[in-house]
Amino acid sequence: MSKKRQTASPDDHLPLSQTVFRILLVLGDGQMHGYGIMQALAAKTDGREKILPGTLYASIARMTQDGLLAEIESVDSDASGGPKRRYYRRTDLGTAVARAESERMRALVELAEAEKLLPESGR
Amino acid sequence: MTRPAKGLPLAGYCFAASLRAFPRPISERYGTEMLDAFVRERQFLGATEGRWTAFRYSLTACFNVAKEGLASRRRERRDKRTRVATGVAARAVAGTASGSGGGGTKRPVRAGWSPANGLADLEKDVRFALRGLTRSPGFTLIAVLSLAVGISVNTALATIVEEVWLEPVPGVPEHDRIVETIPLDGNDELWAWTYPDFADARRAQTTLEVMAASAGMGLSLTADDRSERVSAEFVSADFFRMLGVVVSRGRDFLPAEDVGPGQHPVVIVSHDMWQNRLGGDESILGTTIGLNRSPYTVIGVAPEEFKGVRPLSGETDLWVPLVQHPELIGDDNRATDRETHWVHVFGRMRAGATIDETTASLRTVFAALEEEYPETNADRSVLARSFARFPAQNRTGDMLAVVALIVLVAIVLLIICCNVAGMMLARSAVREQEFAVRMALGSGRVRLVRQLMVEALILAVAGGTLGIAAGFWLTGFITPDRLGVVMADVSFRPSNAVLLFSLGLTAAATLVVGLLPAIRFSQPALLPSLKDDAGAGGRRAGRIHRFAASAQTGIALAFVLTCSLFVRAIDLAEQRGFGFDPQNLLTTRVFLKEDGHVSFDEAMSVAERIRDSVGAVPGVTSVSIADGIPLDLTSSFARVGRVDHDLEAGAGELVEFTQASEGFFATIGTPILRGRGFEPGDDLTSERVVVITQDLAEALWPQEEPLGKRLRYGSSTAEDPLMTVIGVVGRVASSTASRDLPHIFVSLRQEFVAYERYGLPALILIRGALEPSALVSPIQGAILEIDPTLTFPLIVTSESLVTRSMGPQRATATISAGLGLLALILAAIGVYGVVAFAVANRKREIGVRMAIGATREQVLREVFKDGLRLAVPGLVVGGLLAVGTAILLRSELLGLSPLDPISFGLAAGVLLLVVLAASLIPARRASSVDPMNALRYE
Repeated sequence: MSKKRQTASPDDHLPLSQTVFRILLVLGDGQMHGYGIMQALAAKTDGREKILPGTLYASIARMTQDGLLAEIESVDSDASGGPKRRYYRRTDLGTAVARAESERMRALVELAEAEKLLPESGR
Repeated sequence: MTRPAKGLPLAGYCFAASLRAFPRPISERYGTEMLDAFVRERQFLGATEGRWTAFRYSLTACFNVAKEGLASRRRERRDKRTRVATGVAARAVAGTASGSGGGGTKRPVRAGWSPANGLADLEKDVRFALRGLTRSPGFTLIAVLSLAVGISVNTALATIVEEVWLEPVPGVPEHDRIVETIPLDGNDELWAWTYPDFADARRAQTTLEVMAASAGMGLSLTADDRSERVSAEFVSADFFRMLGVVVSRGRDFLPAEDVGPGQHPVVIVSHDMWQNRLGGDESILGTTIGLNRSPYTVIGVAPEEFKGVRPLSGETDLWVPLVQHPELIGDDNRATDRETHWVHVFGRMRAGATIDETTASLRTVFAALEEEYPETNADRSVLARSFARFPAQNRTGDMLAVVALIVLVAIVLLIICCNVAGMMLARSAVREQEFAVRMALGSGRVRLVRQLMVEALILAVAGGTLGIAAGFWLTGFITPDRLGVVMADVSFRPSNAVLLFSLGLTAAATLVVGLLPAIRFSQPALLPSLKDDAGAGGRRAGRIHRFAASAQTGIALAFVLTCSLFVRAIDLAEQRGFGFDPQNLLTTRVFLKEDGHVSFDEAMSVAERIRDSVGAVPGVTSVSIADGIPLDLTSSFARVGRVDHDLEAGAGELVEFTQASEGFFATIGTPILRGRGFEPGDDLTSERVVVITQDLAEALWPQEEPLGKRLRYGSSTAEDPLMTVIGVVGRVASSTASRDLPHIFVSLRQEFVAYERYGLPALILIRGALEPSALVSPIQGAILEIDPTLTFPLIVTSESLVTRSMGPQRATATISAGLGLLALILAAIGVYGVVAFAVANRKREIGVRMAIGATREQVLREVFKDGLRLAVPGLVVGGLLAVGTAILLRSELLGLSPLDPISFGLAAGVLLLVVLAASLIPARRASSVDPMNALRYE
């Protein structure tokens, strides 16, 4: 994956696929390995959102290629005794893209609220 | 590539396998992690939510990984194409700019081949083929089903052949050291040895360590005051030792039990006999059972798995020392008779000896015997053969028949493959243009061949899977009972070898099905195919293909004709009747001599008491005694003639004869045309009398009154060879339906000589006024009331005798109907393939003709004619084949002419209909050709 396609504008990546968006959200500012992403997503959404390994890694491969994620080769082997893992973090572009997608989403949610599709939120 | 770690659960392996769907770089980079994530999540779910959830997760995750992997591949290819397109455009621009002439028709440079590319190509081929096949479901269904039929029949046959001919005799260890020996007279195989020859050979020095003889016989077994028929084997004392079979209880025969005729009433019983008939009692050893009314002591029980040396012809119930055989007891015994062949001889070879050496060493013995007994042993020799389920006698002939059957069934599969190949040809004729275009654009020949092969492979794998499954089911369905043969311990379960064989067949089918169209279409002459759609490779299917279709119609005709001949024969025989009334006529056999009534007078008196007792059963209208009735398959022949006939010189008539008591004709329902039937007074004190059939009367005394005439009787059992005709009856069927001989009936009471010598297998004939089933147990009761120790009488309706007597005809009709149907379907597919191919190729020509005024009807007629032209040579040859077969089977046709025009008409009609029906679809396709469309390229 040497040829990284760095696209200037985050908007070029929109709309994001659900999986990509979820991965970007779950990663936050930290770094995680693949299985960690699966666990974190389930934990942060009370188990409502799940992601399968095939989908996860197909997305990771594409996101790395597109410059949304960066890989960090881990130095230590995993404490739980598994194989040596790669850790992933959001690149600046990734963060920008996540932000742009969130704003796109917010606009949609506001539209939904205006259409009285959502119950009054506690704001 | 991701290699699953040791100790991985099965699901892990599935997941790892599914990972291969990803393009290699991705699976190499992320595979281990993906697998790790999967295993952990699965463990987590198993621990928190149970195994079922974990299982469902495994399925979903495996499916998901395969799906994502394939999607990645597609994406990668798309990206590559985009890059190539951009690159080509860029190079083209550059080329033009530099003036180096980029406008040639050079083939695009093929990307280097790699396993990943190959796999991707294959995947593409598979998807392409699947799409094509699902687009024409009719073709796919017929192709898969017909391949399935072919492979299933082969699988089933292979199973039967393996089980019946190749498996060793059960319960015999080291069967490869055992040989069966066959004496020869010149080059003719004799069916058994003489006893003294066996005794001499046993004493001589040969490569056989142990030699043993056996002779089978039906006996009447009495135990617990019940009698029944059992199958016994009289064996020399070394028999079990020779086979290496060790009795499971008690002891083997002793060497001392080989000498002294009639002095060793001991018996070894089979495990089944002991368990079922003798109660399975542990204390069986030392108890006494009756064999033909003589007491025998049980000394041993054979091991459970040993069922005798002829498991194919039924289980042996018990073994008795050979010296107890009736042929060896008494004055005129066969201990020294070198002319009567009656014992089968087996031997165990010394370690290291071969069958050929054994034959040679036995021949030395026979040569010595020939010198010593030139009168009886001249030109006698011997042959050792391997010991197998199938008796060694005529094994070569039987094996030939089996090989012929195997070849026939293999040919059926080959024909099916040709059919499917033909259909593929017809289908791809339309695609010829596509192939030509693709080749012009640089698609490699290999690639095209591979695509056709992939299509064939998919069809063959589907057909093979279905066929193997059906074959396994079929072998479960075929039992020895259903085949109509008695077999012990034979169950048809396909083995791994058979499975392998069937897989091999599937592979062969792929080759045959795929190669034909592949060869034909991978090299279309490019120009004509591009120009128009009149295929360059000729207008009609290849010669082989046409020949196959024609041959199939011929084979189908032969089977259909055989079937219709036999159906007609049975029908005619039933219409003609059998000369007696089988309805409500019951028969049962009593074994008087075997059951202890040795003298003629005693037997007659028991028989008469049985007759009276049965006659008193309510619902029974008449009872009579005889030694047989028509169609009971038990035949006695005699030569009879006028007083002036010299029977020895072959004058007179060959007749069947039946011994019967008074009331016989009334009981079986045969009207007496002239004179009278038998009366109680027709006994030893009176003149010998005979009742003859009308056809015999006409043959011997044409235009004369037969009553009172004297009949010369060729049987040596009669002291007075002349008998007086007292009655004439109409034609009566012979002992088998296929024989048609005149019949004479003699008085049972005058046949004492025959009884004293052969016993009286008396048949009690009972005509009832009630349903036969209501009479069975009262009749059995009435018989056993006279003598409770008689062998239990089995009651048979004579209607079942009628049915059984035409068994071979019915079996032939059924089998040829089944094969005929199969052959018809195959022929239809074959003809369809050829005609459809021709139509596809002639589309343009048909279009032109229609454009210049040919009507739809003319086109239809043309196509039908093509179908018929194809079928006729096959029909002619098949017809001749069928006539030949029918003439060979003439004796089984119950008097129907083998050239029966109705049967021939029927069969030919069916075949023509099928051929026309098979041409119908292509014909309609041809007649609906749009001339404008066809001429568009002109």
